[in-house]
Amino acid sequence: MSTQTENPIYGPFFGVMGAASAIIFSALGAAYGTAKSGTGIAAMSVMRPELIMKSIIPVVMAGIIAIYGLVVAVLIAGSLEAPSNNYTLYKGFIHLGAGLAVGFSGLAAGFAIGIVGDAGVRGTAQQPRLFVGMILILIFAEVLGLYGLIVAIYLYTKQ
Amino acid sequence: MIEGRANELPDFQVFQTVIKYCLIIIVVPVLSFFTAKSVLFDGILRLEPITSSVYSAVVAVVVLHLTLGLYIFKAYTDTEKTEKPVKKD
Repeated sequence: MSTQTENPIYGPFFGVMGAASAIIFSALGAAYGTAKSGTGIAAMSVMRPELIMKSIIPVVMAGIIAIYGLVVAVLIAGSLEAPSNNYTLYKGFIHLGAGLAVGFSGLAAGFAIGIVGDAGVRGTAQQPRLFVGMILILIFAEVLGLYGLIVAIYLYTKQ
Repeated sequence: MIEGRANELPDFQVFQTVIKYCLIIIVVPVLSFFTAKSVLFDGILRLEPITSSVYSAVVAVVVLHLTLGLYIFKAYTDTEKTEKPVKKD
């Protein structure tokens, strides 16, 4: 029967793994970004505590990476269903691909934000003009995660 | 030491603004996702479930970047203001 071949019992497994990997890998990247730039902030604000407001920005941007993963995970989890409710294997693959796209892009962007945030925050304490450059580099690092989100949403709409 | 004491009141203000903006950045996009989905796209426009989810995700991401831009703008203008008195001292 076509129910057995097109809607196998293991079909939702791929969708569930997609939703899980979206949030897991994004959170991994965001955690690395927060921790790495957090050490930079802690080292810098001993001497220049008035710059804390500016130097929180890498942490906020790392948190946004996790929100990308959250959005895709919520989208995928919203359309997960039992195989009997016409959840095809193709849908499962699509959801796995969408989750992996945003997850690994978020991981890469989180790594970039962490390293750039650490060095940038330490540098801004010595040369305040570096701030604009740090923000630009952080935006370019975060856009990598946004590309993953765009691809994930584009994949998600292919039903 | 004088610098530290002079910064005490702004420190509390900085804490307040950072907490405020961080809560805004975390809460507002999530709220906008679910409000846009349930009220605008499902309620008023009556779209398909998948299209309404995608549109509300786009709305949430746009709102997220607006709040982030607001925070960067605030941080940029605020610290410039507080830096000038420090230099005068």
